[in-house]
Amino acid sequence: MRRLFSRSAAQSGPAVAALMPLVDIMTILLVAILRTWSTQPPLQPVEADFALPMSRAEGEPSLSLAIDVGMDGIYVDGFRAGSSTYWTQSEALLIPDVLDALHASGTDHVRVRAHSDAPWSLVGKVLSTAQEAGVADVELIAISQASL
Amino acid sequence: MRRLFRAEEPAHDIRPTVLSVVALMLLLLPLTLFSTSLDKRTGLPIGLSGGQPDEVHGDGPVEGLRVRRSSDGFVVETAVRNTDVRAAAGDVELRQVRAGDLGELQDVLQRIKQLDPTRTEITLVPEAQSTTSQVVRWMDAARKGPNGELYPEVVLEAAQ
Repeated sequence: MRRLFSRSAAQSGPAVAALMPLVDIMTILLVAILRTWSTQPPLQPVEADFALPMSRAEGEPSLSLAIDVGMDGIYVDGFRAGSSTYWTQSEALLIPDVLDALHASGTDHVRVRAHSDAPWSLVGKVLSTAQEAGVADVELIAISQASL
Repeated sequence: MRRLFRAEEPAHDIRPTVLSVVALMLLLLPLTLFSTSLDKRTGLPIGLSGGQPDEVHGDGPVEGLRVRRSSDGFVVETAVRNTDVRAAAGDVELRQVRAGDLGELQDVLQRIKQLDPTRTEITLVPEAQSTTSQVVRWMDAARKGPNGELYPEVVLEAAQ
């Protein structure tokens, strides 16, 4: 009886020791995945060097119509709807192409993905245009500080 | 009975077990690295203001709360209900407090929050040349301070 247990302990020792590094890696991976897990599809930037601002918020963004405000152009659902430079300098408060696209989509919920360096004069016009189009819910998308 | 306990068991080879776990890891690791995005996105719900004065929210003494940029930091404009016993909603006294940076701004907002804990809305007025990242940092500061939640409902006023 004594030998049975002593042999068992002697054999399981190396087995457990061999598995420990693997279990450690799995645990680290699991924690990293759970921390960054998101049901959102990967971001497909409309422009090269497109960078979202960083936020301390951690709420999950919605899957609504996306308006991208890059340093080169404004895009509604991936389609270009204006030049950023032009509309930054323009005195107009609304962006007609964005307004038309929003009217055509008939949505009342949009998410605005603005480049972190985009001037507020431009982003504000996009938001005003969305408001004019009857959009009730607007979300500003950012990168959460919970990201790895 | 004695022989039963003395019977030799076949040596248990752990290598196949370890190998299967290693094989599983080799499959899981590339799949995980390919399918996981290290950037976690978040959505900041925002309200939009057309520049009109705030509507009266709740029964608290703070009827309007607006923060705008100034050359030396931030200016917090508060419309506090008059302390006169005959004062009604809309009968307010305007107060302005300056804050040099986001930390000071949070201190000011914390004091206003203590004055009216029921108020949840704040209006931010960014400058035309403010960048989105500055506005987001500002929104974060207004939503949550070091001592807890401040004003989770942020209304942004379009740049003038």
